[in-house]
Amino acid sequence: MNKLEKRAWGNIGGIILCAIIARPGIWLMVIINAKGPMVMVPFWIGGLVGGLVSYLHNIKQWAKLDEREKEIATKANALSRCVFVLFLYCTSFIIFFVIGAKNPVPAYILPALFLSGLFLMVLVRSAVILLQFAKERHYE
Amino acid sequence: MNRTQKTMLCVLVMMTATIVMFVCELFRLFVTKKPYESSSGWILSLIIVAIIIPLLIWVLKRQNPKEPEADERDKQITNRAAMAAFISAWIILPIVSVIPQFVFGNNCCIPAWSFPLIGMGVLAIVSIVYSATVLVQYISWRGDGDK
Repeated sequence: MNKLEKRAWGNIGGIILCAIIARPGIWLMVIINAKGPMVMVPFWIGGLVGGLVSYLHNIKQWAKLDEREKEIATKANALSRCVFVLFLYCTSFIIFFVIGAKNPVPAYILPALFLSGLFLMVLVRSAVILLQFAKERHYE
Repeated sequence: MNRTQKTMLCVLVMMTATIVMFVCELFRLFVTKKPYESSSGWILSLIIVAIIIPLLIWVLKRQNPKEPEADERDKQITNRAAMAAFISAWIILPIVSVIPQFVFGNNCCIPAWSFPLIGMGVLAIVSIVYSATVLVQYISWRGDGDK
C-alpha cells in the first residue's frame, strides 16, 4: 500500500470517526444549551486552520509522489471539487424549488450545507483514489 | 495577448459587472427598500450587454498569427491561479455561510431565494480571483522579461 492509499484510508477513517463523535457532540451542545454561531467559532477556526495546514502539507508531499500517483491524485482532486460544487448548487436549487423562493429557511442550514459538502468532497476523493488503485491492480 | 489572457480579461469584466449588479440589487432590497423599477434595470442590463458583447467577439475572434499562442508557461500560470482560487473559496465559503446568523441573530431565517444567489456570488468572487491571478502573473512575467 503506497502513501496515497494510506492517506485515503486515513481520510475515510477520519470521516467515520467524525460521524461517531458527532452524536456525543450534539448531546453535549444540548446539555450546555448552546445558542448561536459563537459556540461553533472555535471549531470553525480550528477546522479551517487544520484544513489549510494539511493542504500546505499535501503540497509539500506532492514532490515525493511518482508520475502515476500524481495523475491519480489530480483526477481525484478534480472530481471531488466538481462533486463539492455540484452538491452546493444542487442543494441550493432544490431548497429554492421545494420550499419556495419566498419562504424562509433557517440560517443554520448554510453552514450545515458547507460542512456536508466538505465531508462529501473528502469521501469522494478518497474513494476515487482507492478505486483507481484497485482497478490498476486488477488489470495487472 | 494570447487566448488565455483575453478569456481571463473577459471573465474579469463579466464577473465584476455581475458583482456590481448583485450589490446594487441588495442595496435596493435592504437599504433603500424601493420597489423594483423596470426602466433602471433595463438600462443597467443594456449597458452590461453593450460591454460584454464586443468583449466576447474579441475573445472568440480567430487569433492573429502575430499574437502569441498558449504554451507550457500558460499551464503553470493557470495551475497557480486555480490554487489561489481554491484557497479563496476555502476562506470565503465558511465566512459567507455564518454571516446571516451573525447579522440577523441566532434564530433567524433567510429566504430560499438567497441560497442560489449566495452560491453565484461566491462563484463570481472566486472567478474574479482566478482571472485576476492569471492576469497579474502575466503582467509580472512581462515585467521580468523587459528587465
